[in-house]
Amino acid sequence: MSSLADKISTVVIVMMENRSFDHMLGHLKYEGLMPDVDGLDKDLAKYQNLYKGGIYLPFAAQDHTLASDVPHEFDYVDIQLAKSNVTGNFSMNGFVEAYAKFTNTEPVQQPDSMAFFKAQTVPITNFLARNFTVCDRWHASLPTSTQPNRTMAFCGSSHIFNTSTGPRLITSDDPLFDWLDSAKVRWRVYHDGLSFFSLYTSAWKHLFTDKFRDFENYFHDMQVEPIDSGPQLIIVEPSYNDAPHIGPDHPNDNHPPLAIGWGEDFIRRVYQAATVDPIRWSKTMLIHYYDEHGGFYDHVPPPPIPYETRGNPSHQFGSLGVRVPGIIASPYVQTGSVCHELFDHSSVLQLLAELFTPGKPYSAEVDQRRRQGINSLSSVLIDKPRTEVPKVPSQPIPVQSELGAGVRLRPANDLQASFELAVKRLKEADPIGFGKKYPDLFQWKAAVDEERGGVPT
Amino acid sequence: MGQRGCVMALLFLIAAGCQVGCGPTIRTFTISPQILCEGESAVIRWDASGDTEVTVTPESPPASPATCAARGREASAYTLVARRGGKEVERELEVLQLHDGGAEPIAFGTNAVEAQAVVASGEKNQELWSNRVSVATVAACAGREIQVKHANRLATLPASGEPSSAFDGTALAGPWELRSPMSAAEQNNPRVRPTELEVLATFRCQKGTP
Repeated sequence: MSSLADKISTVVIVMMENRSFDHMLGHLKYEGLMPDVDGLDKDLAKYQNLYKGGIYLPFAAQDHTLASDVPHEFDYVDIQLAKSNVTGNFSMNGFVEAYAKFTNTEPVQQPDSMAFFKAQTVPITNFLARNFTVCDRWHASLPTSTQPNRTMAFCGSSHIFNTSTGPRLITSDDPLFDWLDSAKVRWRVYHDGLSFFSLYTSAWKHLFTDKFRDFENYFHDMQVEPIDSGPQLIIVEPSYNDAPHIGPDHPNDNHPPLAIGWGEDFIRRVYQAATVDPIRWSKTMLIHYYDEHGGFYDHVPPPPIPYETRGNPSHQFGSLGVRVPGIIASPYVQTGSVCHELFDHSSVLQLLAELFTPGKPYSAEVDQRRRQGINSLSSVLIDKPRTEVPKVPSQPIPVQSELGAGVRLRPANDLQASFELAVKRLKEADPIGFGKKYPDLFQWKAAVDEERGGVPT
Repeated sequence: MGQRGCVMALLFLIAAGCQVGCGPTIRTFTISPQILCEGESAVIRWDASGDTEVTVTPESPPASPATCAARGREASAYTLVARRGGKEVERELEVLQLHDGGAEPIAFGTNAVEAQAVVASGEKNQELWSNRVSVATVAACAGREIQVKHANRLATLPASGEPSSAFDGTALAGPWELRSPMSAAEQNNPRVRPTELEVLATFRCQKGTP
């Protein structure tokens, strides 16, 4: 049996935003494409949600810009999980109630929280699923929103438990870059727009270095860069819907209310770049997953694995979060296979430790997750590699578009305000470095200063 | 408007006083009533800034083979879009058109255990269903015997699903209490108890003024 390092020399991580497993991949079972996947049965009545005496079923949705975001802060997730005091189980039937409360509307049949996509609407996600491995027991680390889950994913622990706090830079949690440097791992971030790591002050020392490159360089770098001097870990970041935008840059992270087509095209480009060099691809593992469920329905109750955030105040979570889509693409996975093992975001950090510091866990807290039953992603890998490289569909993906929207309006939520605060502080800290790294946001900041007198502080 | 047998009257306000450079806003968007009897009209109101447009998209009926599924209804999504300066904002509301002889499930999560029975209680959405929709018959769902308390009436519905007229003429909306005896297995193991109880009510829709 070959070792992990014999199989994998390059790990590519791409984390998208705010969609549940059933929302993106439930169709694999519903349409009979991959019956072994724990997706949506044809009989949708078994997934009914309740609200004020009414019944609401999942429904196949067309792709469009939603009228609003869908609730996913921790208090709304509590409602969605609907823990029963009669059975002690999560009923998973509160997604409509949370949506009605969040939007202050009275849904009658098809609230957005119950939507799911069929294969034709998510052709690239469907392609990856059917050609590689679907992980149908991958849960968000925490039953809460974006920032705590991304912090768990890239720091291995979290001081924070929510996102709705007002503008906030995260000073108490350190992303994995120092760990990678101490393990002498060559790493790089390709960011399509403002990096999410701009919200972590401990990562600022890296932001304007050559280790953070614009996404447009990704394909070319993979094509020409020698493998033995190129990055061993690559984090590919989409353009975040909540981040500032100017010019033709358009968000593609799949965060509602964004239409899904932008993200589908982004994932296509990520896959094309990851596979452009067949030698590099022969030992590559592409990990495509989501930070949290975004408020969309999923039918699988999260396991009761607790976690207490470390900040002041701390917060005690009693379970993992809702299931998220997780797909592993690699020559070392079987075509169209399903992995039913339990994963959360620490599974990625467990894998990195196995690969780059064998015998030494990423951290005590990540190792604690392993002892609680959460597996390393290395368990999806097979021993004998495939030689064919599936060709991604080239079909056009229609999307809606608008330009110039991000300058006039003040932030509509706290994550938007946090991104704007990061831009302001980074520009103040190193105006030359910021202007070189983010020339478009340099212009965006000037436009915002003129249009609305600055950003939140 | 894409709604059979339904005429929608439109009222709207365009807010003044927007500062130069501000984007579109939707302050309010309401449809009353959201559930319509055949031939009934509704009023759409909105208070928004920017250029506004309302579009109507019929929704597909729920794909459910369940015997207790809703029937005799058509839903549409009404979307208000306000545009200004290259930016647009949306609000969406759903409208339900009822047909005579239709049926509507009444379901609540189980929230108590009393005397070897599980209890599910709550209020059927008064804002949506109002008092214009009245009950004709009620039948138990999911093969369970269910004792029903509603509008000061009490009846036990057989597990066979045979409809009862015990609640004929009462308002569909309002408080309901459903109670079902537990099996031996359910008494011994809480995890296999039902998470919800459900009955199916056929209804009459009384056309009225919104």
